[in-house]
Amino acid sequence: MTREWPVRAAVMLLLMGGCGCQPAESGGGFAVTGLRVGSVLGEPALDEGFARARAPARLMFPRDHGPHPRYRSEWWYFTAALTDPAGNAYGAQFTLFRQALAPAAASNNPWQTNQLYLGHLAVTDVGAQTHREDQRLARAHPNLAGAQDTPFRVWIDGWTLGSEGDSLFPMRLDARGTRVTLDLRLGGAGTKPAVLQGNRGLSAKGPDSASYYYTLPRIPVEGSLQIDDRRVSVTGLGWIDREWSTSVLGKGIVGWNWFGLHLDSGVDIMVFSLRRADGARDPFDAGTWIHVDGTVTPLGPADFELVPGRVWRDTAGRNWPVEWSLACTHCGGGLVIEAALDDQRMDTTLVYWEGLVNVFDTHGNSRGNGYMELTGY
Amino acid sequence: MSLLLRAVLRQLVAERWTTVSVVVGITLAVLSIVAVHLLAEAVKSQLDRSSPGSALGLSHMLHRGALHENDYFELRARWRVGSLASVEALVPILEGRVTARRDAKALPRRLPIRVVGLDPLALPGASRSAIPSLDGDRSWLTGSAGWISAGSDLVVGESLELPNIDGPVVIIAEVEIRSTFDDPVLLVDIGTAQRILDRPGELTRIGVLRRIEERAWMRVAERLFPGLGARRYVTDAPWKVSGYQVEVLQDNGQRLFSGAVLFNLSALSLLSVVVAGFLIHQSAVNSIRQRERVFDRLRALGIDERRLVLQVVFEGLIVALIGSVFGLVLGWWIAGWLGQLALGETASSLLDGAEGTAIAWAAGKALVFGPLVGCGSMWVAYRSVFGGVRKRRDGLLVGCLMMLGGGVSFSATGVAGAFLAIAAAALAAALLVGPALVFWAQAPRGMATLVGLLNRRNLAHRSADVRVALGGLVIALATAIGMSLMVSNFRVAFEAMLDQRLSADAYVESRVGFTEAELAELRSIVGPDSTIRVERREDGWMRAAGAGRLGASFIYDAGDVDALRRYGFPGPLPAGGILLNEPGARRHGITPGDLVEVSGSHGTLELTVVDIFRDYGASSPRVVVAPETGAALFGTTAPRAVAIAGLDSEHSTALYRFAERNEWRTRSDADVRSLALAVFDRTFRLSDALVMLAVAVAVVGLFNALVAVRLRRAHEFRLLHSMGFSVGEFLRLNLWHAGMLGVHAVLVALPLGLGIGWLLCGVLNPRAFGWSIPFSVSAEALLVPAALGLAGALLAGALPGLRTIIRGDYLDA
Repeated sequence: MTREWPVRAAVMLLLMGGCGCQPAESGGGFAVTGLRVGSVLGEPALDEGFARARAPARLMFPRDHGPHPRYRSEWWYFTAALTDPAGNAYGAQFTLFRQALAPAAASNNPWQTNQLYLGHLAVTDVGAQTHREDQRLARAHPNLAGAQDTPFRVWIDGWTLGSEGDSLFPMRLDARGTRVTLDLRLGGAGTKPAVLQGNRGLSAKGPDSASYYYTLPRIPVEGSLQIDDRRVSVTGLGWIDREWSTSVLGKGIVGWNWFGLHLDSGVDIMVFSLRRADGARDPFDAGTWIHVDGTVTPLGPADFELVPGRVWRDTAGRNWPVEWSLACTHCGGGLVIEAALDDQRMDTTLVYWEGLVNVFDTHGNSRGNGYMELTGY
Repeated sequence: MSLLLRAVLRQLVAERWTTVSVVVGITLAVLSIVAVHLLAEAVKSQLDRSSPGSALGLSHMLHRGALHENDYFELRARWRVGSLASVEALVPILEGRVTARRDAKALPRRLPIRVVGLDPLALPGASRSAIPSLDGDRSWLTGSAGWISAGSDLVVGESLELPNIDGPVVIIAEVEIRSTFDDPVLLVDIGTAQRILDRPGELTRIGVLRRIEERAWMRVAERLFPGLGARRYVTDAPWKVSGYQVEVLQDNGQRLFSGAVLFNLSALSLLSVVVAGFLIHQSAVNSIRQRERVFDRLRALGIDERRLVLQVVFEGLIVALIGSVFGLVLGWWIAGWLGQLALGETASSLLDGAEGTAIAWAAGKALVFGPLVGCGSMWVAYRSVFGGVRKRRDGLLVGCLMMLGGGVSFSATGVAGAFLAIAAAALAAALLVGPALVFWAQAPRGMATLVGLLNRRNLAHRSADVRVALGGLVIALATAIGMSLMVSNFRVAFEAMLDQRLSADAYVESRVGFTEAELAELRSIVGPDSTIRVERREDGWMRAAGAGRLGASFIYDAGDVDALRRYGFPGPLPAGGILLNEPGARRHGITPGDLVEVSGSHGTLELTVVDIFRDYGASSPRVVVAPETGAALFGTTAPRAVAIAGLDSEHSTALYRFAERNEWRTRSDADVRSLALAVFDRTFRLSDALVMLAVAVAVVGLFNALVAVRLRRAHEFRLLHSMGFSVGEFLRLNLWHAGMLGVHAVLVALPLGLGIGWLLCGVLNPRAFGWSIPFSVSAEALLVPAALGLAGALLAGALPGLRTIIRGDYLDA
């Protein structure tokens, strides 16, 4: 299952027309209001010629760490909950989206491509109550943007996430934006193996729509970040989501709430709930309980429930639920998820909320942290 | 409706002619502000669209011989690690010329077009909005679509067959860019352009958007006073990028010159507002004087002073608002007409596409300036009648003289000081108008006619009724004289500069320089009867004693005397000598004989400035050096331009074709000269129109004042009528009176106008733009405004007089 639907929706809408996203200044940008996920991701007329995720595929690595150009959309999604030596909390996000405009290659001129890439970069400084984001848009070109499997590397206009050697880890993220910079090393002891979401990597989203989806849920991270003029050394845990598909959303879906959580016990949780226009619970809501040893228990709609709590209203009048209750069969008494900072809105071409969250039990005891994504509001 | 409002409206209706004339005055004043603002936006918009680079919001172009896309990627990588400060976008660009085949039904079937390829995704965000349908049609990315420059014969939806690509290129939209050549511009993706032009991997230049730090107050000041920001493109140090020649798109003579014109026009539009203030003040003084008893009764009834002031100010607000609204509407219409006058047939379309912010600013200025002047003038008038404002004419005069002296003498006061000096001179003249009128009227003379005696008595004893309006007329006429002197002198100097510089038949420029082989081929193409003079231009640095380092352009020719004559120097250059342009000299206070340190890529020398040459349109220092000096500073360099003289038409055609193939810029000096002078004349017609508006406002003010005078002379007219004065004698009385006022205004305006002309030529323009204009007096510049002033005064006097006589108003007591 993908948490990137709304973002992907925006990407598809934007990149289908080459919307022209300029790296946004922090807090500013080119917000597109009223973008509806369902209207974009459910466009079967645009799917002709592209491959579709219909049956579980044998995912092989490192091959599938790289791009899948026969599918229309794809992304590499990295988030991390970090702290500096003084214990101050930070969130980091680097995302690269790929969108194909046509199934076949245009020509042998590297400028003429049918692939566009969109990069998002964001840092949250909880102590300073600051969130900064940046964006880059480029066509697929060896010197501008692209992805490869061996050695693994994705890049867009100076931002790079890639392996330092022959194996996937250790990996290095090097991204310098307008007001944010990430220089992180990923990997090391405690890295959990890849988790195939859904049915052996086939993540269903509707009766006739699915994607291929796997996660690297727990990755030790260390390095430095810069937000505005401050540079700090940080350590923490990262999470990478990988997904590719063609036209994955069903009718009536307007948004998405997604959570990727690291519990202090060593357990990781991924859950999402689809937001339907009629407000009803979608039968394709799903999640994954990732045990300490890396084994996986899938969660169906009957296994968990997400209930929104406190709402934060942004300057444009949108209401974002920044607190949630998660009740699940494995959660014990239940979990409370709170945004570390209310305003972690991505003011990019598509406006969505993506940010650092803290996890508590129902008694208020800290249980961990993670990332939350809210779309379609 | 409140009592206050009813009282105000009643008063305005009761004095309807006064009200109407004040509304007319405000309308004309606001009209000029709005027209200048809208025109300024249209001019700036035209300049922004003057090239594809400017139209797409780019600020610089980077050039280098044999530019490859790998150079672009390398530069981009440098940029992304923070190496290029203030750069917001880098764009690869490839240009070339091909012949396109159109649909079978289109004519002409084959059309030369200019192909401009770039990466639209690399454009700055705001620039992408300049390319319509960028986000609506993805086919441009795969090479089957493009955009065409507006105004060409090609239409949206048309398919073009272009060389070296399979399938047609469909035009998906028009782009508001102007081609610097006659051919239409086809904008396509960079990969598409490389295939069409068969230049894989090549680029022509790299476009850059570099944000120049601009203070917020400067942006606001530019909106309030268009043209004020023209100098903001002047930077102390040129931006350098290692390995590239940098072309600044915004720092060019055309833009600076346009800014200078707009700057002068903005000042003139304010003049109308000032004169309108005089009009309102005079009308208000006369009206309040007539109501003195009414105000006394109201005070006796217990109405406090504040309410009385409020009523008067409210009167001013209402008439000013009405005038401002009319002025806003008429200003829009006049802007189109003035734009037609100055810019040609494209003016209307430019105004039709005016941005919302431009219109909003124009409306804001109209609705602020008008009421501000209206209310302020009424308040001052009330205070001057009822003694709240103590008259300290002598103190004001001294203050004006000090401001005048200080503004002229201390160059550190800058443009503001120059403006204040002009304003102070005008105010001083306006203050002296009344006493001078009385003095002149009372001066003993020999036998005089009854009409003359009566008018002199009236002028001497009732100067307060007209002196403010007369002051407005003096200022307007003086400005007309001053502007006329400035424009005529500027034209002479500008023409002299053009005659000096544009002496060749053709001028060919290469951004990366001519190779020896190219020069040899040029020589063979132009024929044995033509002469070629090469010109080398490099960027370096200059430093004067006690000053910081300044970027400068260095020019060194083949060294012949003819080349130096282009800069007004009889030549040859003495050893160790340089010529420096006037803007550069003014920036550092350099005079002939001063030593300066000049630096190039190969060395530094200390040289003597032997002469300073006029350089209208230049914003940064330009230095002319001897060829050996240039070689010492920059080493062996390729010439960047050649000037060809003695070219006949046959060789001229061959030359232009050859230049086009090599993508060199060419121009005919004669055509440039004619065009430059035509543009000069056209744009300064605008200033004539604005000055006439100001004179019209002043005449309306004088008319208003004379209407009041007529009323106050009613008893006098009754007496004369009873003595047997004929209609003709009454007419003569009124015309004499108006004529004396007109002559007086002209006599005061003449020296003031000469002073304003001198200040404009010798103080304001040098401080604002670094250019001085040699000042001389021409009879036409003096006589035409003088005649207009006199005619206006006679008209202002004749109409009330005629009305009085015909209706016999004076008979009603």
